[in-house]
Amino acid sequence: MSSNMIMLKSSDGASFEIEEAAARKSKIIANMIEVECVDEDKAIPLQNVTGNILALVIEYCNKHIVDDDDDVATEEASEEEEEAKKKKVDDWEAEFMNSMSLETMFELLLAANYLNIKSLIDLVCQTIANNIKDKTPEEVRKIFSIENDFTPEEEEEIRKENAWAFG
Amino acid sequence: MKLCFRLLSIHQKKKMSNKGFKRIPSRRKSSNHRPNPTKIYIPLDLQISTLLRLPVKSLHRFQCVSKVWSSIITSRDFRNKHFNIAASSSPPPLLITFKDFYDKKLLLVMLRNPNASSSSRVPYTDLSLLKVYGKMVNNTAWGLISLRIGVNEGICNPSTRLLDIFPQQKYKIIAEFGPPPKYCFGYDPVEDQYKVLAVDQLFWRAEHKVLVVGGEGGWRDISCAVSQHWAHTSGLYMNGFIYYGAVCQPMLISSPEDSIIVCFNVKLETFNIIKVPSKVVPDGSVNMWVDTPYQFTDKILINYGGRIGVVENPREGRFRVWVVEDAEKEEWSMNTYHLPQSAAGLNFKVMETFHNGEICMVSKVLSDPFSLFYYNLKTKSMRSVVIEGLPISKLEQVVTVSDHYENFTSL
Repeated sequence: MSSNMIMLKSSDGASFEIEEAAARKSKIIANMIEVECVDEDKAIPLQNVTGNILALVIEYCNKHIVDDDDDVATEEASEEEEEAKKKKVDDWEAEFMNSMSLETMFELLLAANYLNIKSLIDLVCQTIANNIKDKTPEEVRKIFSIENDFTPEEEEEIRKENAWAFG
Repeated sequence: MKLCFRLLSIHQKKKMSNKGFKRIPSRRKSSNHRPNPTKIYIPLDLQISTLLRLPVKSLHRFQCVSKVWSSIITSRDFRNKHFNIAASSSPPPLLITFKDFYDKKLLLVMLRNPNASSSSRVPYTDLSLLKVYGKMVNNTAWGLISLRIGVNEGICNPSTRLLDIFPQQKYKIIAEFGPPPKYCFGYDPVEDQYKVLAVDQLFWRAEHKVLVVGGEGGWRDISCAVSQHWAHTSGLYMNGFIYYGAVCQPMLISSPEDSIIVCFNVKLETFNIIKVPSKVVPDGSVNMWVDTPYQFTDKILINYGGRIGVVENPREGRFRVWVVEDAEKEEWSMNTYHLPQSAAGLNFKVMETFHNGEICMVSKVLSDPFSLFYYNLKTKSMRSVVIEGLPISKLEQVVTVSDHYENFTSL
């Protein structure tokens, strides 16, 4: 194992090898590395993340570490190049999130939150928002397992006040 | 009117809670049907992060999801965070206002900024249309529009479709005749208040007034330390200040040296003057803003990357752009640009939005389909973007094209 590779172990026992630079995208793992509690031969156990979700997280981190390297290499990139690069990342992210089920998105969001990867939290929240923006309150309650604690009259009043938003 | 509405809703709520009390037994029963417990639970902070990224319309609809969601969505803190996220998208969406033939309604169109992509067509599906009663637009700031509705003035939030009509001003000196005040609208980011400045256009009276939108106080007099002035251009809101082009002498005796840009601090409610150096005033003009007295100005102020820019409508295939490089040292730059041959014959009007070095123009005569023209100051080239699906035959002219930020303010 090269010195800058570390091992991650999912809650269901799957092991993943990841570049340290990519793993540092997670604030939690970065902190563990800082305080040197990472044993080179031992995998870091991640109790709250399953293998299939961890694979997605790693895919995301790997992709974004490459982009960060690019940024350093071409500091004086022209505006157009910057724009083209940003578009490339946007396209990749759109493709990455595309066709992901809401359930997977939720699991990925929890994993990103647990591992403290801010940009991934933002990406998943935005995708969930795009996904639910045209849904009815009933559908949204189901999706988030929220109980309706309004009386029918209270709900009716709020609906009336915001009638235009239901059109 | 506003007070009445609030009282009414409190009254209704009282009635509601009484009814709710009676119904408690039946609600207890229904709460046994708990949602599927195997479903993934998203903690509240992540629910909020998701809500912050929703359009204003969805947020209004989701207020009835639960009491917690309702109180989150209607909180001031949430509203401000939501606005900051919406405002961080660059370039921001566009807001275009059109006037109908009868001077009664404005058609508001919100769309993705065509600058965001190289595409030359914006299809109908990207548009959000809204009709409001109104005659003319005073100015726009932070997603809100200050407009004239019949004989009244008011403010409209196209994202929430709320309209607030201002009370009438009371002047100490009442003039039988005279021009109405010039209304400019801005935002105080420190106190989180929206304010309207009414610049008195009666030169000798100069009773300028300020109104806090949604506040109880009504119009307040403010003292203007910078003497009397007459506003020529619309107000431009930029970073806590309202700017407008003006002259500081009565029109008939004014000279090019009297040209100024007034800078109004929205928080402190103070005026400052930026002098227009007479050497940049167009030759033969009575002042910076007009050629002859009592004309409408053909110039507009734009946010030139944080500095004030002045752009004139093209005439005979060319137009000038002034930039206030250093207001204190009276350093201005001025450049002349020529339209490409193909566009030189069209009668253009310059619009307020300015991004990526592109001046946005529209044709004074509406064409179907409607097009926005972007003149690139660097490459000196022009491109057009077709906006598809607008009911052009029912509209008379474009009033404004400005940056739009979805704003959740309830006015």
